[in-house]
Order: sequence, then C-alpha cells, then structure tokens
Amino acid sequence: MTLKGDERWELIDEITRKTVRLEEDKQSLLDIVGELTVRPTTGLPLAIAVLFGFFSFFYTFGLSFLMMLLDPLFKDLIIPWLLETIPGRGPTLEECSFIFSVLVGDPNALHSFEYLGVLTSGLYTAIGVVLPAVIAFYMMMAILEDSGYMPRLAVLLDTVFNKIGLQGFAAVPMLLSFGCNVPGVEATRNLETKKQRFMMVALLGIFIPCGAQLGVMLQVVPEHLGFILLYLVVSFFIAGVFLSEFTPGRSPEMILDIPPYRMPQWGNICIKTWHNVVGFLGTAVPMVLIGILIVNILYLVGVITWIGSVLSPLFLGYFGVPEETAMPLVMAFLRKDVAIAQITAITMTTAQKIIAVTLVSIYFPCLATFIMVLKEEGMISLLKTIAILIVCFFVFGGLMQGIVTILGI
Amino acid sequence: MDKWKIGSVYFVLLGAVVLWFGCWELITSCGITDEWATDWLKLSAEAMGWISIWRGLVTSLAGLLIMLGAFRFSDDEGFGTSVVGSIMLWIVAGSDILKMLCTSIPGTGSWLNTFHRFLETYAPPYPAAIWLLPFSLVILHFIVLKGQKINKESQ
Repeated sequence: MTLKGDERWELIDEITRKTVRLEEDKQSLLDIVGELTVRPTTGLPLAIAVLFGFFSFFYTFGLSFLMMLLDPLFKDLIIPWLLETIPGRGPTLEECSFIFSVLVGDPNALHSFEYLGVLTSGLYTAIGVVLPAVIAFYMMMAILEDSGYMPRLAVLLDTVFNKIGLQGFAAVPMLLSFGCNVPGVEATRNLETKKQRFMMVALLGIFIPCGAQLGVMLQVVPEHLGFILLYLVVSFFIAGVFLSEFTPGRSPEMILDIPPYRMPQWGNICIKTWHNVVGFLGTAVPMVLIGILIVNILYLVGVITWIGSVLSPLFLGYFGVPEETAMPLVMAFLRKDVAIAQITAITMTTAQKIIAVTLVSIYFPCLATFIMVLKEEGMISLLKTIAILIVCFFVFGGLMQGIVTILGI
Repeated sequence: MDKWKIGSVYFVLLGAVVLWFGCWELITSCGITDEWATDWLKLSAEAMGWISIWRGLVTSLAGLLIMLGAFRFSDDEGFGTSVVGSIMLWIVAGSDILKMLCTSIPGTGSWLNTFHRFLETYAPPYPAAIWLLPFSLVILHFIVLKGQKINKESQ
C-alpha cells in the first residue's frame, strides 16, 4: 500500500489519537523534593547534612563499631601469638634478630600501630583500620548512587567546580577518592576534555586523602582532622584556580540527565560494597605489606636515617618537623595510611603532628594511584603531575607551618 | 481550621525549636558557652569539637528550612522545603541512634559489652535531635495527605 504525504499524516494523527493519552503533568512529592535538592538555597543545606550523615556513618559504623570488633583480635590474639612464635625476640628492637625486626618490629610497643612490623602494624593497619573504613565508605557511596542523590550533588556543585575550569561531574571522582584514589582517578573518564581530566587527576592525587588515610588520621589527630581536611579542600580549589589558568584546553559546560529518586535495594548495595572492598583489598593489602617490608629493610640498613639527616635542614628549618619524618615520607610513596600510622611512633608536638600529617597527605600519591595515572593519562601527564606535586608540597606544606604558627597550636 | 493551617502553625513552631537547639549546639561547640546537660537532655553529643560544629550547623539549617517552608505549607514548594528540613533532622537523629547502637555492642578491649553497659548506652540523657525526631515525624502524615491530594487532582 502506498500513501501520499497528506494520507500519511492523517494516519499518524489517527494512530496518535488511539494510542497517546494527554493529561496535565502533576508533580509528585519526590519530584518536588528532587527539584529542591538541586537549588542552592535548599540543596546546599541538604548536601551539608548528607555529608554529615556520610561522615557520621563512616566514623561510627566503620571506625568505632567494626574497628572495635576487630581490635581485640589483633591485641589479644594475633600480635601476642606473633611475639611468641617468630624467632629472635630480644628485650629491645636493637637486640632483636633481623627477621623479627622486619616481621614483628619493636617488641616493647604499646599500641598495634607502633610495632612497625610487616605482620603486626602492617596487618593491623590493612585489616584492623583500613578494612572497616573502606566497608563503611563504599556502603554509603552505594546508597548515594542508587538513591539518585549523586547526580544532584554534581549539579549543585557545578557552579563551584566551574570556577576552577571543572564540571559538577568532578564531584564523583572527588567523593570516590575519599574512599580510594585508584577508582577516583578511573572515574575522571566522566570529564569531557583532556584538560579537565589532567587537572582532576593531579588535584585528586595531591589533595584528597583516601578512606584508609582518613581512618588512620582519625586515630592519630582526631581533634584536628576537621582543620586539616578543610585546609586540604581549600588548597584543592586554590591550586585548581592556578592549574586552570596554566593548563591549555577547553572547559565546557555540563549537560546532565537527572534520574528520579529511588529507594536503594539492599541486595545491590551489598554486591557493590563487596566488589569494591574485594578490589580494594587486592591492591591495598599486598601494597601495605610490601611497603612496610621495604621501609623496615631501608631503616635497618641505615638508608632512612641517612635520608633524614640529608633532609634535616629542610624538615627542621622549612617545615618545622623532626628529621624522623623522612621515614613516613618514604613509606607514603607505597601506602599513605601506614605512613600516617608511623607518625604516631615519632615524638612530636601537636603542631608538628598536624604539619607532618598534612605533608604526608599532599606528598606523592601511593604507588597504586601512580600506576593508575600512568595507565589513564600517559607518561607525560604523569611527569607533569609529579612537577605540580613537588611545587604544591613546598607551597602548601610551608603554608600549613605558617598557619599553625600564627594560630599558636 | 483546616489540617494544612494547623500543620503550618505546628511546623513553624517546631522549626523555631529546632533552630534554637541548633544555634545552642553551634555556640556550645564553638566554645562560646559551656556544655550543658540535664538528666534527660544533652547538647553536644560528639567526641570531636569540629564534628559538633558541623552537627550544630546541620540542626540549625534544618530548623530554618522547616520553619521557612511551614510559612507556605499548603504550597508545593513550601511543603517540600519543610520535608527537606525534616530529612536533615532525621539524618542527625539517625546518626545519634546509630552511634548508640554501635557503641552498645563492642566492649572496651573485649568483643562484647557487658549486659549492664549495653543497657546503660541506651539510658538518657539524649541529644536534642532524638527528642525532636518524634515531633518531626508528623510530616509523614502530611506526606500521605499530599499524596492523596495529588492523586485526587490527577483523577
């Protein structure tokens, strides 16, 4: 059957009359709340509340509940068993055998963090502190993603990120990086241009502490974590302004389709959390153990002491921290969480602790993140990131020293 | 007086009370006034000062949104604003309840708490958000009413 132009339109009208029902669109309450969530006047207060809930869950469920359940396992079972079983224990660390020093560490340590052995502090940090923090973080992330809140947060933060040449999408890698920098770097694929991806990768690697690191920071400097985090986020945006100016490329506007709010399914949340935690453990645990092993060997053969003495004028004069900070800084290249844990073993004032924790935070991202940056952005971008990192380390590390001195902490 | 007018008055008052407690929490956590607690109610529930400030800010903003929305309660946007404010208050109260649950189970240096300590965790004083939670749940009744109204209008 062949139809002429008019007949074709008549047929379309006929089908439309029979199949399409037109009625006035009435917004449901979820639509209204969804709209209010992306408006700054109501959306920003809600975002502050959601992030409070996020942090509260991270701290209460991850670091208080799960950690307190795992803590006795190390304190009462694993560490005493290792102290008895590994041969070569002496009254002090200097009198212990090489194997004992590397695997168990200081036999007189009072806290699981302070042993600094591969199987003691290493396993304790990875399983006892980092695992609970990571489980809590990814559970909350899955809830935010599945409920439909994440895209709204991206829209809400678009104006802020626009000021530094990024888009609201940058909120996703930024939040993910608070869990682990590796998926954070991977998530920068969401960003549209090469300039935005490079900027985000560099800023994430330098300024955003991962969940593992946050967990340990909460144990080491709980009272000052808010101040340090605020400093890092402000530094993120200050450095972003400069990077945006000096990085060539485009910064286009964001166009985003926002899904409706939905009730998250517990099954999906558990599956997502499980996959993320397994992936994280696969990279983190071996890296923690290898990291501590390398640092311990370097320490025992005197390399760390040598680096400390060479860099001592810089540490003492410029940053105002003891030269022993060299040890956590070497460790930070492999695992930043363990590096922060090592700070507890150094005698420092509160101000020095704050500066040292900040230095470790803005120091080189861990090896796994480096590998991911290389994979995603290539060697040239990685070298540029390292150059930016070195500048930021001195600028923002020195600035923190000045702020702490002015505040008289 | 119709239900929406009663709701409006109720949520303006509730918003004002939430805002007042939020501001009090905020100034207490900033160290402007001393910490305050009775046998039933305590103000600063956080171990770390900076989280208390954050919490006080959320509670104050929740009160402000509940109150501002309640002035236009029968209007979709005003009602939605009060709902957003209530959700914020539920987040703070939920965090407090979760904290009670999580601290009641593990013991200090042992896997499980003693039964006495377990029960003790749930004893008062409670933070302001927990006391205000049941009063804010009234909004659920209005959410149901709103749903019925929307359904009726669309029919």
